[in-house]
Amino acid sequence: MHRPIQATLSSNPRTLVALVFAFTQGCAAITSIGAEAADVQISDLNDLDFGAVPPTIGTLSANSDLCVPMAPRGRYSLVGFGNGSGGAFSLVDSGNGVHQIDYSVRISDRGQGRAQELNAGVPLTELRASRFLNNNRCNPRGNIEVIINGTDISGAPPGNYTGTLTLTVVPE
Amino acid sequence: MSNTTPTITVRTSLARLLGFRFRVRNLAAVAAVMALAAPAVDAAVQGTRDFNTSSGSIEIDLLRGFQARITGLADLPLGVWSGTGSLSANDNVCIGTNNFSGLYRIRASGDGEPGDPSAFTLSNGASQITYSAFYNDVTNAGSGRTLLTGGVTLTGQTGNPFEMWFNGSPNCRFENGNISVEVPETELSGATGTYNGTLTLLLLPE
Repeated sequence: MHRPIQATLSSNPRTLVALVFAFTQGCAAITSIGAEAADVQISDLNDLDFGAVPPTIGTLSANSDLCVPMAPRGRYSLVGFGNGSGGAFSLVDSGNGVHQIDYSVRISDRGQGRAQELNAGVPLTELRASRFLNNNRCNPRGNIEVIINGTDISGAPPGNYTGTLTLTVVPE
Repeated sequence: MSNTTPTITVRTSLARLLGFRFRVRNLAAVAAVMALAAPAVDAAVQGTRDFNTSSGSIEIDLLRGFQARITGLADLPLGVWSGTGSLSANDNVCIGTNNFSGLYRIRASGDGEPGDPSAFTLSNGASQITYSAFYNDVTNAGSGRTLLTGGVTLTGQTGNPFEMWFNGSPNCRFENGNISVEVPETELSGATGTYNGTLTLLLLPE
């Protein structure tokens, strides 16, 4: 699995193959993206607690900051996975591990104005990174929006639904 | 309620007129669940600065609320005591929940007495008498009913509550429970006047 990386580095030290591990149906799939070598970091993430909601409610959304600095600065791709089948964006009832509530994710690399739909396991590309700053500031700062439809909530049995949204960024 | 029976006329000193009223607390269990919810713990994982890839994660939590409703309650007039035996009354009720398991809990509280604020008591304004309360998770006050203790939650009730899922109507679809009360002869003996009390029921999904 590591040999392609070593071969690419030796042939062109400015380029390597970035690996995105996409766990699909219990099997590890590997997507290779040609990329320029760069330092990158994803940070400023915060948990999203929708709290206790009644069975009948409208669509809910919550936002997390997103900061992706790169050095050298450039573009990056972002891929996300949830807890559902095949990494789908789903919250799972922690009481029985069976019932699920789906959610959708929108990503913006600049505030909330340029949001794009993120599909599980499908990289969003051409996102613009910020710079590494000494004072931990992030400029510009991106946004992650998680949306849960009211119909999905009302159609689900009561329970404590939790999920982990895992995001990986890779320089392009 | 009027005191007009011949028995009362003849035995005025022994006549007891007992009135009984329900007060129902139809708790939307969301509030209770909120109180039980654990405080949020920051579980977000920040990515590290690394060469060509960085991963982080966000935890997402949502507590889908429970909902419950008890309806179909009526007052329980016990009538006039003839001087012997106990007095009893019962009423079928309607329990609805959106709990997937169908289980629910119920807690009854009476007007209380010194030392026990939830005791099942009736009062004539000057003195109290106690009564027993029972709950059955099917209709009618049959042998399967359970003796209640004031303020103590009765768990594991399974009597097929009507579902309130998918925005279903919260109105009673069928009676499926029964509350019953009984005032023993020992309490009635020596008591005079009109006694009243309130029985408060608290319904919670299991």
